[in-house]
Amino acid sequence: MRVQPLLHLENISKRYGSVRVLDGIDITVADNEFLTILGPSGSGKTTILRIIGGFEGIDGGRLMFEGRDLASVPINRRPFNTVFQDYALFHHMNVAENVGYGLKVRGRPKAEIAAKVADVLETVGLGALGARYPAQLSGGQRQRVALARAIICEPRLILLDEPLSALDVELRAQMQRFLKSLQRRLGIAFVFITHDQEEAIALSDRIIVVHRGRIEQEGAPEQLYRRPRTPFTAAFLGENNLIPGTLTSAEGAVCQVETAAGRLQATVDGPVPSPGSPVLLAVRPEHITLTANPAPGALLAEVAEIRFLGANILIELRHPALPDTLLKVRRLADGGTTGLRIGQSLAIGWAAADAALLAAS
Amino acid sequence: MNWTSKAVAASLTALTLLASAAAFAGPKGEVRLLAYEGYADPAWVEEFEKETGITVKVTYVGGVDEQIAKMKASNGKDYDVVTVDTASLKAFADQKLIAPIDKEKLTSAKNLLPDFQPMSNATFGGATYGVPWAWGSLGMVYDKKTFPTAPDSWEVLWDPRFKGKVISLDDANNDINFGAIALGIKDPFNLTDAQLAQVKDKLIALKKNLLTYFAGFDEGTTIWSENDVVLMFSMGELAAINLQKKGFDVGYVIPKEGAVGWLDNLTVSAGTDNTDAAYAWMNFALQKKIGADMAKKYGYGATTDAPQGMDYASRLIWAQNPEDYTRRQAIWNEVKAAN
Amino acid sequence: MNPMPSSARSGPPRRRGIARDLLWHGLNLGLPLLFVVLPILSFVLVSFWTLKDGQIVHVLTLANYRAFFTEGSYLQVYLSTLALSAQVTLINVVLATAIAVFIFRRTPRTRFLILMSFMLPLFMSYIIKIYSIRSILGQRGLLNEGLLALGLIDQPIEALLFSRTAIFIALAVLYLPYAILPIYLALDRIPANYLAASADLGATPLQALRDIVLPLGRPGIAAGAVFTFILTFGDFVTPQMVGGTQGFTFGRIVFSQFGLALNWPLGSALAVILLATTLLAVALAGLTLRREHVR
Repeated sequence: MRVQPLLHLENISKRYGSVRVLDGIDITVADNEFLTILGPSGSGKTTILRIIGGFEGIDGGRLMFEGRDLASVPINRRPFNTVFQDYALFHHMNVAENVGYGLKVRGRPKAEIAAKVADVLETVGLGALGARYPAQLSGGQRQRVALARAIICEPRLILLDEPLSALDVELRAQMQRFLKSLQRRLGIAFVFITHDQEEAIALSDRIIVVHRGRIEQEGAPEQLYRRPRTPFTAAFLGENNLIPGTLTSAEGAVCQVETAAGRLQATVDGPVPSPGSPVLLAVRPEHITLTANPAPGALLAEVAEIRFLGANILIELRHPALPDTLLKVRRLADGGTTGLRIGQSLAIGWAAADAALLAAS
Repeated sequence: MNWTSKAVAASLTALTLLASAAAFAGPKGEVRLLAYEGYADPAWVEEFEKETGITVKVTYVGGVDEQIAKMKASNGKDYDVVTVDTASLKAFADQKLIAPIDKEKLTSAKNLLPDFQPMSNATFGGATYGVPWAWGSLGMVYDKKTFPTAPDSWEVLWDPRFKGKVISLDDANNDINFGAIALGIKDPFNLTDAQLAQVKDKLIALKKNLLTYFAGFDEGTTIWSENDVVLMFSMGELAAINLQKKGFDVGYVIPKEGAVGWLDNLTVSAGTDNTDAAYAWMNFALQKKIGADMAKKYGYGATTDAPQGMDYASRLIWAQNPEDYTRRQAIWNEVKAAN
Repeated sequence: MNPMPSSARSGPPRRRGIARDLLWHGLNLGLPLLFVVLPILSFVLVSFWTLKDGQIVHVLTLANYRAFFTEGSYLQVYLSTLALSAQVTLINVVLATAIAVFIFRRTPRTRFLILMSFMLPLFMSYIIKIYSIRSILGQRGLLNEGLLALGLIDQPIEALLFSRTAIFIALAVLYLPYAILPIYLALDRIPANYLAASADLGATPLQALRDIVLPLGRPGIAAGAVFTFILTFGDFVTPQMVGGTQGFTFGRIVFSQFGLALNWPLGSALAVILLATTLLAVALAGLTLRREHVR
């Protein structure tokens, strides 16, 4: 028997006038889970969050919390809290008042509020700043206040709307670690919205990729990264080389694909498409091997560009049969640029297990 | 206004200017009046110009202060005939802004009603400085339905039976005059401290009977028509005329105690260089038919023709400057502040 | 071609810059000085002069201020006007806040329309508004005629017009837009997600009003209160026109000194007291805003 999910969005659809912004969205959130909804801007991910929070209505489907329909539950009675994109800290209240606000409106005694505020501020590492006003805090500190304010009422789930987007790179990495550890410590489910795939991969137990109001693919970060099922997921999560072709035959999960550059191998995740159907072959830049002395019949390509990126080198190659595709190859830069030069011809290859087969859209 | 009519108006203005310049050049060409509204009706002007060939140029003023300022600016050289109220005559004469009347030239003096024949109001220091021309009073307006016969005393305004149905003019000086007259004080313009105290109490007592004060003819008639009012200490005959025009059955009466009257005089400017034209206008204006027309059109009493109902000139107390404006204002403020 | 170097004509560029700066500073300081400070100083000065036999004598005296406290009914009228203005301010701030919150809760598009409809009276002549109020409240006015026609009363209510109540109603109606506007503008500056955040944290709409809307609207509420108070305290026309025998206010006393009475020194002293009172109101409003934290 399946365990009942904490939160279940059942086949939700939403329109703005004649524009359909969400279509057939079905999401479950389990207890203690860090779930990320990932998508580019305009994909509908923020609308999903607003629907869960109660700031938007729905045109179809159901929103269930522990088996209870939330349709008639107003915002202020929903059992979760939100961390807003720009934090929405009340500038006329100090940190302690902001954090304690959820308890205050619930009519808790002052002493209890004060104790819990101190406790929560300690948890987010702001123990001494209760008397400050938001205007007197740094971006990272405001972020922590917003988190403290959202967790003080001990919700079963908190919603985070791109909370790290306003922070600079270093602070963002620090906050990512903090968020993850906080989530583990509290055991609260996090529904995290972002357009940043690295952030999503780094934080999540599970990622749901949303594109044009539909769910593109969902799964654990590694699964999505290694086995994207759609061209969008393949391109949106990390870098991928996509080579179009036609499926000719398959032995188990290993498929033969006829491409302009010749016959190539790939591994399929899930059902195998029927032979003859158009497919895409996706290979990560770090999975491509380069050989200076090609064996006969190897795939030859010419170095078009070499980019030194610090820890990595990105080599872009062009295959005469694939004029529209620059093949990207990534190498650790431990040995400098490894003596490659532009115009040099190299043999390229990959293990069949590292090439994902996708149905072409 | 479209372009064509603007052009026409401009041309007409230019023509008028040319015409008046031409007239000014002539020996008996122009008479320049400094007057109050209603003292130079266009119909009279037209008739006068046709009769005499003298053009009329009128400058209207709104009050005594403005009038003195205009006269002083040129020592009277800009005007030939000036209408001056009785209370201000002496000030004009003292400052040599007006000249004594030459009775030889005033051929129409015989038209004056007997009350005004002596011109005593305008005579001081052995000379007469003005000819009585228009007059009015600050009398009582009453509702004829409530009072089939006119009330004969100001006391009716204090009658508690009419509580909330009485309105009164709001004017420091005239209210104190009115209070004094109602008390039977003979000289309301020169009050002693004791008399002022009496007047103040009298006016405070009136307050309890008042619906409200009003300022100006329009406000008086508006308040009367929108509320249940039966008695008014009014600003003048025009108050009754306006109400009658609106269809209210009201009468105007000067009670037995009397009422303040005002009397405007025609005077000759001390700076005039065209005395003949000045007297020509005065002789023309002092005709019975002009007086009758003024009474009909503007509600002013004429000095040459007793209009219907205005038979009370002899019972009026002609306005003079009071002993102390500042003092009167202070007392009036206390009356208004009283509960 | 111009043979003369430009500096010879208009001075070196640096000096021209200084001249321009001086001109700007001069204007910045000079215009308020010329149009605000000097006129005020002039009547402050006049308030210390003496009136003798109806003429102003340039002899310094405190008599005009002494008169305010001791003579006639100046102090009494001052206090009753103060009370009246305070009452009107109180009721108007409550009404205007309610209206502003009502507008604030509409969608952005309808907000403007509703706001404009409340501002419409500002485009009408003041006197016309008073006359309309009077014709509504009169014994034969719209309100009485309506009530009579409906059979709700059988005698016109006389106390509607020409009473303290009438002054109260007229002042409140006339100056309501001046209170609504600043309050609404303050509410309009509240970030939209504050209300979302407070609801998210569990606040009911009423709690959000108490904790978010009203505290953040406070500068506007203070401004609305100050506007209403100053305008009602100085108004010498409305009370006179609708208040009947009760229509004598402090503004009217000041006004009366500049008419036939020509008592400019006393009038100026009373005007200084009026000005000081309004400045005090502004200062009080300022005090309530001390703990304001900008974002």
